[in-house]
Amino acid sequence: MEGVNTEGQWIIMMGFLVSLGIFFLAIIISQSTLVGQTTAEGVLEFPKNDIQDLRHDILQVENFERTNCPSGSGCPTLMGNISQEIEQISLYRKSALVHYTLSSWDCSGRRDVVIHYDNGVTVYDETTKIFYSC
Amino acid sequence: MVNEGAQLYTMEGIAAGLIMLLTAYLVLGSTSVYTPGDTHITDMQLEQVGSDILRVMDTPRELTGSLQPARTDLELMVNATNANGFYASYVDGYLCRTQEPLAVAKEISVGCKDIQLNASIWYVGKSSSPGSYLLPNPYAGSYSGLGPGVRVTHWIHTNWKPGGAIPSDMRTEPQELLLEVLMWKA
Repeated sequence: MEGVNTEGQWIIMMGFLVSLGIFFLAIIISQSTLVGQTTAEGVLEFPKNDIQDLRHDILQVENFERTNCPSGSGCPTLMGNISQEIEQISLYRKSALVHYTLSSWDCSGRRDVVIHYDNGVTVYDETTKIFYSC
Repeated sequence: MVNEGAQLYTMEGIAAGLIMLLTAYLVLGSTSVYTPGDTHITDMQLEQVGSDILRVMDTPRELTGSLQPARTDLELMVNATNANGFYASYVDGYLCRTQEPLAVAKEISVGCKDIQLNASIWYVGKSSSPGSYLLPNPYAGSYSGLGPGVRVTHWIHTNWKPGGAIPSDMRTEPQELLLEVLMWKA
């Protein structure tokens, strides 16, 4: 290597450094699309409308029981039928496993509404507390 | 006698070539942004519009003095099995509204007259098995089109078994019904 002109070593080194910089930038750019994809998938897959709709209806059922059934005993047959309707139609038409429980209607001033939702991709649980005057 | 002077240049050339190839590969690969479901975006808009319409129709017009929600338009139509009223309200009142406030469908990329729809109601009968019946669309004679369809649903709490042309095995008691609206582009 005696005849080689060694004046260009700085140029070569800087070239390597710049190339490495472009590498890292390109990796960051490619990662950003991956992040966008997973975020978009997460938003698309979450059954927001179904859950809001279900909650709306179950709260109506809760209100219905308080308005029309005697406190203490409630009306277990009717509420059982309604629960069966929601669970069965959800499974049949919405491909979602739904289960909900209402704590007893006993004039204690507070009820818990527990909703469980599972459509195979999203598992969602929520508890709503309802305060009322008896 | 081989001239050994160009070895460093050769190595540099190879290294530079590899770097350029890798960089081009990464940069070109990063430009193909993959958006899942991007072909269904207009369908999603249609679905959202339909879902919003059903939700608006199921909103009480006013609250009574005891803060009990009044009956909603949707519940009244389903209770009476008033199919004509349902379609008139859904299409003319919301989807293709021509007076202020203007139609929600103007925000999606298809004209509202290109959208056809059909609605059915699901229930659980006396034998504990699900059943359904149609709300017949008065425009049913002119159905056409093979466009992709979307299905929007809405739960309805009804205070009694609906009247009108309904299956006989429905329970005669307050119950939950699932209203399904199928919408597609003609």
